[in-house]
Amino acid sequence: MRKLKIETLVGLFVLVGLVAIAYLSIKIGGARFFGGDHYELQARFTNVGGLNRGADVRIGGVSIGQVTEVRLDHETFAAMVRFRVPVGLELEDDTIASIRTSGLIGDRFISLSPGGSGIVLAPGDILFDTESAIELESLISRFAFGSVED
Amino acid sequence: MKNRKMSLHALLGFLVLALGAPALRAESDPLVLLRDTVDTIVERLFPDGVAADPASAMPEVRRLVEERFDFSVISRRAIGRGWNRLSEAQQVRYTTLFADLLMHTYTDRLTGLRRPQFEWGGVQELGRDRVEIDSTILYEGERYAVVYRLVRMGGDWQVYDLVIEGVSLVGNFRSQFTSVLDRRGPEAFIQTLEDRVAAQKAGS
Repeated sequence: MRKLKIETLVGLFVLVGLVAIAYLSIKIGGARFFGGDHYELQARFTNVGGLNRGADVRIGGVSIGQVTEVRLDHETFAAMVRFRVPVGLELEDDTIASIRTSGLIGDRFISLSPGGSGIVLAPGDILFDTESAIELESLISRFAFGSVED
Repeated sequence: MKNRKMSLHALLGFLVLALGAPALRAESDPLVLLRDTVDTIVERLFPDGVAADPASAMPEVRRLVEERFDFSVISRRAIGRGWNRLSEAQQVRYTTLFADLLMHTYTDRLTGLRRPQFEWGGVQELGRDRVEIDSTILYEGERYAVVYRLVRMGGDWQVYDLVIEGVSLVGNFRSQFTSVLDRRGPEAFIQTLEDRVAAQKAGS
């Protein structure tokens, strides 16, 4: 009888430990199992300049969501980005998505400039009006080559 | 360096004019129609290979543009969400002013420039009634990447944005317009545009 009690206690202790580990993993990893408060949109870029999963999505500088996937379209070689925005935030189909950098060498994030077309984007829709990452290196090389001719 | 910068601005201004043109017929290939329209405008602006007097060619270019193009598409996109903050009368005034602004901005800067060369890339279909056309402009040994974005509306192809070296024209105007609208309100915003256009007309 006593042995059974100890085993039950140990079992409970292990269970509580597992729940705590699961809770921590979810909190730290930022994983979400229930998509109830967010929906996903996609955007097509010619160059994402190293944008990563988990990068911020901002409107007016305020973080409103995260990038959930960055992949290459094997047919067109365009970069397809999937990102999450809160339910209740209605974005119209002429919203412009631009890849920006925070600071001079900071992280890449997506900046959304809301449109006013009247046609609201549904979950899963693709934004085609995008501005790709502008690479400092290419600007510098253009400047350098240009100055040779002057 | 300053000259080069001015030339680039003028070139971009010229592109804006080209942007205004194609309200293209539905059945046709958007690339062919865009190319033809751009060629026609280039021919008007750069007779004999040099833009000798773009200001005097402007009324004709404008007529060509307005015959076939509805400025409301690009002007509405350029103001974004701010469109709903304007009254109907203000929307009409804004659309006219935006067209004026696009047409006038770079007229003087074209003077004396040589005709640029165009290379047309492929047409990418981006889903229903929407295409992107890549092109390159060669000017004085430099190459500029220009992407035209077109949408089919009511059977006509309309250019609704230009992306020059990765920067969207509509996006650029939208951030400026939103900032003025937020700070000063719709009436002051329209007034700012009016003053700007009046100053351009007086200067040209």
